[in-house]
Amino acid sequence: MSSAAALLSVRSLSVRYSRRRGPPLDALREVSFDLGRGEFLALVGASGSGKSSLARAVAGLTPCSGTVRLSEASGARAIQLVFQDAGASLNPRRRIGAVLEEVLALGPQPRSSALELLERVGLGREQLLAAPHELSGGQRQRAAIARALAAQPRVLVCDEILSALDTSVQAQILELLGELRRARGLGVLFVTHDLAVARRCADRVGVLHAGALVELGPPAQVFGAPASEHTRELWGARLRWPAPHTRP
Amino acid sequence: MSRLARAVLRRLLVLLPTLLGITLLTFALLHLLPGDGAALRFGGEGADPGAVDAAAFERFRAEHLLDAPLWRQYLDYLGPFDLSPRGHAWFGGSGEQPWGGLLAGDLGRELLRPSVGIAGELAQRLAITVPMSLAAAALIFGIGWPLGVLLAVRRGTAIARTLEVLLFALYALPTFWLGMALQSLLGGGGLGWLPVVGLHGRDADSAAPLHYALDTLAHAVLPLVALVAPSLAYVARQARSSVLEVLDADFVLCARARGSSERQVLWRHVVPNALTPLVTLVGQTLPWLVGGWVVIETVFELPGMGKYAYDGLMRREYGVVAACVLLSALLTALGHLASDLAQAWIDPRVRLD
Repeated sequence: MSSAAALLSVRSLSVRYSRRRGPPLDALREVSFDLGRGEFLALVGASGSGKSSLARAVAGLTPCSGTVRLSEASGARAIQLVFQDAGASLNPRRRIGAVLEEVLALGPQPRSSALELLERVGLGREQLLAAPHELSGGQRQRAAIARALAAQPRVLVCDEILSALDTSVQAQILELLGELRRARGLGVLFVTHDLAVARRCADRVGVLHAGALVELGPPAQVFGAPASEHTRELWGARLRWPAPHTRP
Repeated sequence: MSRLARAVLRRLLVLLPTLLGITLLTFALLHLLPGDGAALRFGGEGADPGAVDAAAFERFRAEHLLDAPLWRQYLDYLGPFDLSPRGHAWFGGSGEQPWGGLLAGDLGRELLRPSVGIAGELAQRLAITVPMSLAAAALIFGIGWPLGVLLAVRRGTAIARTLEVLLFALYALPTFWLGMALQSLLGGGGLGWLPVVGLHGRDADSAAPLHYALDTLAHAVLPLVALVAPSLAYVARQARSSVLEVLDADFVLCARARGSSERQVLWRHVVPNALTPLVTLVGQTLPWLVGGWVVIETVFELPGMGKYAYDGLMRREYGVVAACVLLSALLTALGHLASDLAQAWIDPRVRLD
């Protein structure tokens, strides 16, 4: 992805957390990458590698240094974050319709398009009047995506959004993201620990280790011929089921 | 019948055996205390035995069942049959006064002042305690809650830290000590700004309505401050914790990411969610306020329910103490039910099952 064609350009992004005791923690160190229009960029890494810090920094929710720039003139809401725990990311006291209308009221779209948004993510009128706790995990994640779309973003940052969902719902959400990329040219920055999803769905994969981006490239290259030792370790340590237990 | 009505009915039905248990416990505990109302009526423990009319003493004990076994005294207190010598003929009484006790809606009469009915006296006392309690609750939550929100939003600033230390100090102060300190500081012995005893001045009855109201208000200031200050500190600290917890929630981060202003984030997302646990506090405060008044009304000599309960205990007026405890227990149960109902109303996740 050349910088000229990039929808989102991230340069030297660093996040440092101060700690009560000991030196500050560098959660992210000088990370740079581009994201193209309609591109699906998966960011993988072990726990504590800085994936969620990167997601929040790109979405502007964590103080950071470096630059996050969009190529097209867009409002402050052009980058939207979808959280891992969709239930916790929806106000528990507001019905889904009210959640969507609140976001719509801040933009040019009419409030009445809340139902349209829900239908776009595979939900309907019934969910419009539901409270978050009345929805299933998959429905909550769809509602969270609908809310992100209500802000008319150019980039969707998804932070482990599949980890709490069963396999069939994961496939539906990935299909939905694919449709949104095709229909709206939405760039998707997909933070995940699921290497199989990254390998199957991403246009490019970035590998984070100790806050640094150690590898970035097409999945076949990153997983087929990893240039970084950490990528090899990560790929080698992926879950492999043991052979079925046989009774003597 | 709706699910809500069924849940409320179920809770009210559970309340009956609870209250019954409380009457039994109160009755047993009161009778563990040394002495009884008859001894106090006939001169107290230090009275000259020669001066006491022994026959009248025994007659008084018999009339009030003080010489009867405890179970009989308890059943008489519970009702609906009056088991005293003038009570129901079924139980060996003269039949003059067949019904009585709690189940007959009769709280009885005071032992030392037989002309005074406990229910009527309690109603008069409540006319003082209830408005004071409502004023206290309004001050505690009207000031404590916004103060907690402010402390959370401005956390880490010098003013917030100073206020937190002050609130902690206020919370740690015993109510009776604060009351006495205020009396010494602002009363006649100190600055002399405010009256420190009673609810009215000596000539209040002949004063014009406005002066009467101002006089009452002046008398209420110090008791209210002494009762409200520690509770206000507690509520403010709870509100602060509650708001801080919600401020870090993902849905608040989301609201910021969507472009909502800080004011919108605070009032639409943080405050309503932080309010929910505090609603429980409101319900719990009602009976707690009554308990607080026992101390405050005694320190400031206010003729309210708290003072009535304290005096009743000192005079072994079992009926008075039991009535006050029962009322407190009823308030506690109703306060919890009201807070559960309010929580179910404001938070769609809460179900009153």
